Amino acid sequence: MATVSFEGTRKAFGAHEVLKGVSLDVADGEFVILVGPSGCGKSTLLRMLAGLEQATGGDIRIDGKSVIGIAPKERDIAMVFQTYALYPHMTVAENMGFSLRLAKAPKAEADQRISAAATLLNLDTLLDRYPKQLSGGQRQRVAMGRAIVRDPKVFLFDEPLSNLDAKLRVQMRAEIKALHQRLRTTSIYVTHDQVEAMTMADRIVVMNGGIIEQVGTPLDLYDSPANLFVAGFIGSPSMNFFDGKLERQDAIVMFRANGGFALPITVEAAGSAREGQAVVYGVRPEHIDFTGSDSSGDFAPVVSVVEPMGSETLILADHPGGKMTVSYRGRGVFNPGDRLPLTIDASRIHLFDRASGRNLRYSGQH
Amino acid sequence: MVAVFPCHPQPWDMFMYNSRQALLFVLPALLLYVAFVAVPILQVAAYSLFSWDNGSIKAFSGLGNYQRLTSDGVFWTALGHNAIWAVLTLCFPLMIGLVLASILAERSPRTIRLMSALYFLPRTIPLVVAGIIWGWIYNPIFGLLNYVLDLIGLGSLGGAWLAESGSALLSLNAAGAWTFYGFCVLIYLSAIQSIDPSLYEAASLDGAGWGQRFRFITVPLLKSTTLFLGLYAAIEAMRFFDLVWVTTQGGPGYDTEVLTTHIYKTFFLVGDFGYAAALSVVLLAIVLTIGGLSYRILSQS
Repeated sequence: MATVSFEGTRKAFGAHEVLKGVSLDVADGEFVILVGPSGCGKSTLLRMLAGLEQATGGDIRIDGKSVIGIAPKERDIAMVFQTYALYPHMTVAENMGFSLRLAKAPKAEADQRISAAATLLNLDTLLDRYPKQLSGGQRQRVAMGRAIVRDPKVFLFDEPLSNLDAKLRVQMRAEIKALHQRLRTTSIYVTHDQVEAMTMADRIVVMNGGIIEQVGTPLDLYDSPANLFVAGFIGSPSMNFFDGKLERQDAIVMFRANGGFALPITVEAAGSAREGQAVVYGVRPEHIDFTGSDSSGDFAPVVSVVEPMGSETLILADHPGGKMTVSYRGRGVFNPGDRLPLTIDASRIHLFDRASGRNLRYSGQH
Repeated sequence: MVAVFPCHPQPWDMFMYNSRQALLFVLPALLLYVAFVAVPILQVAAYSLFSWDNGSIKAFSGLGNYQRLTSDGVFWTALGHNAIWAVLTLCFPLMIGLVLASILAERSPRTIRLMSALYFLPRTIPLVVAGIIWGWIYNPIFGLLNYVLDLIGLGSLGGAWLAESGSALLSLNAAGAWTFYGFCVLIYLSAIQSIDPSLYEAASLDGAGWGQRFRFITVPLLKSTTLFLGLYAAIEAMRFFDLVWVTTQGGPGYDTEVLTTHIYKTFFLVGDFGYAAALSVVLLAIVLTIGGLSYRILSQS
């Protein structure tokens, strides 16, 4: 158990700067997920904490002690790799006990720790098998077992579920979360899958282009995205965006889309935005209602594709400014070409400054 | 060619049809193989059953030539030298290749390209030329080795490397190792590069230093490569000829005699075609046995 902190951490490969000064504090026992698109630097940050890459600037601390220049084996960290990295010539038990063997741990103690981890992960019957004799999910468990046996200060997970099929991924997601709740070891987990991040994390760190865009609990990020990137990245299906500007109409400030239609806003969402300011209007597919009549005016989305999901129906619709997605709770009968009777829940919308991408609700911009 | 079957073809017809077609495709290569490999081998095997006199068959002697093997001291000495050569090759070039490849694999791509080309260079030199180069290096009067030993104050260790019975075979083996280790480096290097790098990273996090990663990851994962190189080296050790012939021709005495030089001398210098043929058949049998064994072991692993 330990705290982890990055202080202005930088990493460059030649002239290409992958991490541009990242600062982050991870509390003892916390489960933090680094999420972002490919190439955003999340895996590099994790590998630097493990000691597999060297920082080119800033500091990295474990329990307040700088680990810059310290070898991976001295950092007391265990990592679960995307490819599992199980030693193919060793049995499950040998894989799990490799670190103990290197540390010359007494055999009785090693056996006891391997057996305890195996029980925890339901691997008791597989201890004599080789990795090639295991399924993807079992290999994943062995990789975690190898980490658990060491009882490290910090667990690192580098996209551990991306090689599994969708069903197994959901199952393993729950298992990892349950395991963390049981062990309470500080864990840092990298993924590009925002659903994984939302469902597992205590806190999510959204990264993009080598910087941190926002840090917060899953619901914080969902309810209060700090900028356009986070708003578009968190949530599935993605938030709908409309380009336009703020306009005064009969003493009420409205959003006027470039497509010509007007949409309601609230004072809170507008923050301190000026009239005439170029903004992006954001609303999540699930915050659009079908009971009202916003479309009675000039906002008239037309159904183009219907995706029945069982519990909900996703509708892809065209509007004068582009495309949008609407989520209908239930099984409505929609057909391509239908005009949708929509009401947007104005209290749930977000307005972003067009130029900076910042959420006007929190930016305090004048 | 399109096959037209009036009704559903029987499996046997299909098999015959496919076999005939396959045979047509391999026929040119097969004809060449029979003419230049199979027939000469059978010819040699047949020659070994006769006693010869001045290049012509004297009488059928059955397995007489093979019986002579048991009392031919030179044959057993040569076979022993081949075995020593095989063991030394397994010990040195393979081990040196493995260690160098492991060190090289962690360097930059540029260093890897440069160094592997350098290591491989001796392999590209014809063995006859390698023999001449090493003949110069070992020369007792103006040779490089004695000169360097003199230079570092170890002149007393110098000698006529290829002319003394204690050092001749080992000196030749060192030259052989020089021509072979680069090949081992390259084969091991490509095998190491195909190992998932995250295994080494996982081992580093598990607490393994360089030596432990080498011992617990690299060596076991290169088992099949080592097996391949070992068997290849063993077959080469039975077949090699050029290096010995250019430098010592099997001497001094029989101290560097190997099976191929013994066969050459028996055939061309003594003119005993029948016995040379019997020796060749035995050599072929040994090489085929090692080859078959390697095929079996490699296909199992």
